[in-house]
Order: sequence, then C-alpha cells, then structure tokens
Amino acid sequence: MNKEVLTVWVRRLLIACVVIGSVVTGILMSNTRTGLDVSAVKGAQNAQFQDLAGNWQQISHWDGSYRIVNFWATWCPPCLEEIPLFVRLQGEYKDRNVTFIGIAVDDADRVREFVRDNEINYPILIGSGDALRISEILGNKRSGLPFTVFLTPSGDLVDMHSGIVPESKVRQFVDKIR
Amino acid sequence: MLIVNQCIVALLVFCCFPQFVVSGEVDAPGASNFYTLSATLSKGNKLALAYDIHPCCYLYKRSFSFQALDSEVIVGHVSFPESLRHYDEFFGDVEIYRGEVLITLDLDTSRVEVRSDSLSISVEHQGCSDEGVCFLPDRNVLRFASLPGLE
Repeated sequence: MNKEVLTVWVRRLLIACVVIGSVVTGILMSNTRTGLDVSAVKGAQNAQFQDLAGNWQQISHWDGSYRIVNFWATWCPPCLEEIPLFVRLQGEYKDRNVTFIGIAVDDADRVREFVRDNEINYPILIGSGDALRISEILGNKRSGLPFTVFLTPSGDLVDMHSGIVPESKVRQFVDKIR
Repeated sequence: MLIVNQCIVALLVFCCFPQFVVSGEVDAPGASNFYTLSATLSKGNKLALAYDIHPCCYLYKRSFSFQALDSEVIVGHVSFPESLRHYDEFFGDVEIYRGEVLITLDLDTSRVEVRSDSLSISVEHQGCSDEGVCFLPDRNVLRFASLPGLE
C-alpha cells in the first residue's frame, strides 16, 4: 500500500469517526437534548399546585404513567385552540397509561368556568407566576404559552413544544409506548 | 491540509446534526424582549408611551390598562392610534397593535398639592406571537421624579 492510498484511508477514517460520533452523541443526548438540568426537571415535578377542588397536587403524583403536561391560560387563544385535541386524545388513550395534565397560569375562577364549559376530562392544576417559573425550568425559554412537555413514567423529559402541539407529535409520543 | 479541510466539513455536519435541534424552540423573542417601551412626560401633563413591538408579535388593544399609583393623580383620556383587525379562533375579531405604537395619556394633576411630587404610573398589556405563543400579561411601573406641569 503506497503512501497516497494510506492517506486517503486515514482521511476517510477520520470523517467516519466524526460522523459516527455525532450520531452516537445525538442518541445519547436524546433524553437530555434540551440541555436542561435533569435534577431540576425532576424537582420541578414536585412543585405543588392546587387542583380544581382545592387539593394540593404535583406532576409527580402521576408518576408511573406517560404524561403530557400542558401549561395554558384562558387569556391565551392558541392554548384554548389546542385543548379540544387533548380532550379527544385523553379519551382515546385512556387505556394506554397516558395522562394529560393541564397547568393553568391563570385565575382560579376563570379556569373552573372554562373547564366546566368545555368538559375537560383530564386533571387541571392552577398556578400563577410560579407555574410559569416551573415551565421555564422544564424548558420554556420564551416564557410563553402554550407550552407542553412529554414525560416518561419515571419523569424523564423526552420532548417539549412551544405553541400549539401538532396532533402527530402527541401520536408519535404515544406510539412509542409498548 | 486537505485532511484538515475535510475534518472541518465533517465537524460542520456534526454541529448541524438534526438531533441537536430542540423541537418547538426557535430563535424568536420571548416574554422579556418582544417589545420595548419608552415613556416621556411632558408639560401639560401628557404622558407619551412609545412601544416598539417585534415584527413577529402584537399587543391586544383591550389588554392595555393604565393606573396612577399616587392617589392625587388621575389618568384621564387615553389616545390610542388606529388599531389593526385580527381574528382569534376563540375571541373572534379583536383589535391589535404591531410595530411602533404611540399612546398618549392625559394626566389630571389638579389635586396634587406638593409641587415637587413624584409620579408613578402602572402600565399593563398582553401580547402574542404570530406563531401561536402568548405572553403573560405584563406590568411596568413608570416612575418620574417630578411632575413637569407643576414645576
């Protein structure tokens, strides 16, 4: 093997290493691809919010199920636009160990009225600025609503979405559940 | 040298690999920087509020509220510029503002007795982006050292 051929193969090997490295790193980072502090993400799931009955709850209360946690508000039109999708999919996925959780960054009375009028069939918790801060810990960099995170039964954050969540994204998450 | 160049290309591929893109997170302004607000208090007790809203975003006209935090000062007439029509799925036709917006407040200071009194005005508004992200109602407190109309 002459020197020129050897140089070509070394070059190819280097490029292959970089490309394979990027793929492997991407896969390894898939659970933490948001660059978030994993312990902070877990801690945020223990933040206390009142439910519609006035009982204190936390996201981790639903540990053991796949969770789609949606931060929303009644003053936020795109938030209201996507809620019928969540209601429909919660009904469809009730036997798939999937729980939608709504965390309203809003006034409790307005939330109760909206939930009643729209027959929301999943748990709703109520927060205010504190709820927005929790969403920021979970990756809501723009501090906007709606903001949705996808959690595994053990609380690993596997995906997030700022704005209206496409139905295909929810289905993709659920389809991965065996 | 050629090897170095090709490694640079490969590194660029590495950096652009799609798994590093976080879905839903785009390089767009957030709640803290989608607008700027400057205020000028002039003689005649007019308060001019100049908004500069990022092209991606808008503010709802109905969300504006103004309140003097000093009991002796009253916010009188508010002059809004012409608004734009916007259709919301849930709220129907609403009025919004984009770009540069100048709002003028007439302040009634006739009850102010101390000539060097300061002034604090609370300004609230709420807005959204065209891509469907809304920001929490925002409140700014504007403080002025004195009322120019009384100096």
